[in-house]
Amino acid sequence: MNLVESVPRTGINTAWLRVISFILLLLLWAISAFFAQSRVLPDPWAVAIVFYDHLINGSLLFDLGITLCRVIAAFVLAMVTGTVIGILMGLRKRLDILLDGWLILFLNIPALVTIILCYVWFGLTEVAAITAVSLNKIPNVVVTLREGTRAVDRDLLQVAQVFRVGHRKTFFKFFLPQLYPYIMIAARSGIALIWKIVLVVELLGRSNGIGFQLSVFFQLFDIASILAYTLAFVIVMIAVELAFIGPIDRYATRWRK
Amino acid sequence: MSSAALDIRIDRKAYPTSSGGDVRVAIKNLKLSVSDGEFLCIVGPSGCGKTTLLNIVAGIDGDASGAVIPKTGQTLDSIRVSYMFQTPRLLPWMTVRENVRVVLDETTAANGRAEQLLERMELADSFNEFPNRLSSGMQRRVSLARAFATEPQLLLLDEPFVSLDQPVGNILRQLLLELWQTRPTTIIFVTHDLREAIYLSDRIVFLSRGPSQVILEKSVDLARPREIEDPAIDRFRHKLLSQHESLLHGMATPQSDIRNENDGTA
Repeated sequence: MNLVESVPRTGINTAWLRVISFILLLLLWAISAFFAQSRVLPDPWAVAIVFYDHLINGSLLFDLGITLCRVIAAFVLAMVTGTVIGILMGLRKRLDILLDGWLILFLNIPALVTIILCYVWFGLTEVAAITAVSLNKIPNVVVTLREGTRAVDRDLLQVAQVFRVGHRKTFFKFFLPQLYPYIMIAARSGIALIWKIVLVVELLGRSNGIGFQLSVFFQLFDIASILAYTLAFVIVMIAVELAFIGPIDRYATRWRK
Repeated sequence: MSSAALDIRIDRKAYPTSSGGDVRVAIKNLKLSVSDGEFLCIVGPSGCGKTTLLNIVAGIDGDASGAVIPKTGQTLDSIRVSYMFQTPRLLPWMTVRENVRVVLDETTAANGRAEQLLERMELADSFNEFPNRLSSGMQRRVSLARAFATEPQLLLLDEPFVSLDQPVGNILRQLLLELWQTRPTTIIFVTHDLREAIYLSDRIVFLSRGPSQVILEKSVDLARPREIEDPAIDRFRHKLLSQHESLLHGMATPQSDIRNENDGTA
């Protein structure tokens, strides 16, 4: 197998394929709903109507906003903390050995346990909710950034040293840009993980947001609303990827051939 | 003070071997001095510790015993040092222009010195290119522009043209000489190519095989400007090699052969 030839060329054809794939999914859903004829599997059209109703008359936008704020807060907190710890562990051998055990411990604590403990110890507060979400993501960021720091090209740092550009410039112009690919990897997988955990946190201990509403709909057995809310959030997260993460990534790696 | 004069004395520099335990001594009892504005070439067999020597002078190898002392009473830290490495070592995420500006402070960068030097290197059309898209000859030019941009008092070059083909390398050698003549600086240039050393330098210092020591110093008394194809360079080379047969293998006169062997067994 020739790997070079196997890597696909992008073109209009691939865009069409994506549209077709999406339509196929809708079709599959509609057909299943038609044969099931059940309240627990509404068809796409019913969900669209409920979605519109929540958007205009309900609190969908408000809940979406609240959840999005929590996602952003937890994301920023996790990325900053994880990046700082990851870089330090990558640079300092002793610190790495000291914290490595903790890291493995935190990587293996189930999300649910962190959430319950945060609520029990810090109360059912906003701070506890955001801390719980961040704690689930931080170990991942640490591992990725530690790997990135270890892979930093020392030859380029020597250039900074010889030309005596100073600590600030060495860090921001010579060191940090080498970590961008790793930061992007952590950010991409971070967003996906965080928004899923935020919903669980809201379900367990908040009185607003998408996660809270989903628990209400669950108790009412309102499947159409659950699907409508899910759809809304997925759309928002795809928009975030397309509008922010994609362009930032392309800008940061524009120098590649 | 436009350039620097140095006394270099390295008592011992050793690397741990990969098998562990034992160490490999790269440099031992090496003494060398370079005067103000001089173009000094260091020639030695590959693996004899030439790069290590430059790294020690540049201050990026702090693990050697010895001293590098400026003759003018300055401290080594106050001398502006530039280094052109064996590979261009450009930052791939920065454009050509940014790569030169990044080593300058804000006021010098604002004066347009980076742009001036790049134009001198005939890179005016490539200011906003990324290094990955340049040929290796062009990358060396950017690296050379960067090295001169800080107006160094001491410029270190580590076989900078070694992987280039002859014509491209010769253009760069000529550029280096032109820059050195318009912006005087002390140069230490490491190479294993004797012709290159004769063409470029005022004085050549020959090093032995590791642990390296100075085995011969030779002034190059050819008039400047020199032509690369000048037969005088070949005559100089021939004469030198007929006097010291194994010079390029790290051995000079019979006396220093003996001295060398003694050290080799240590």
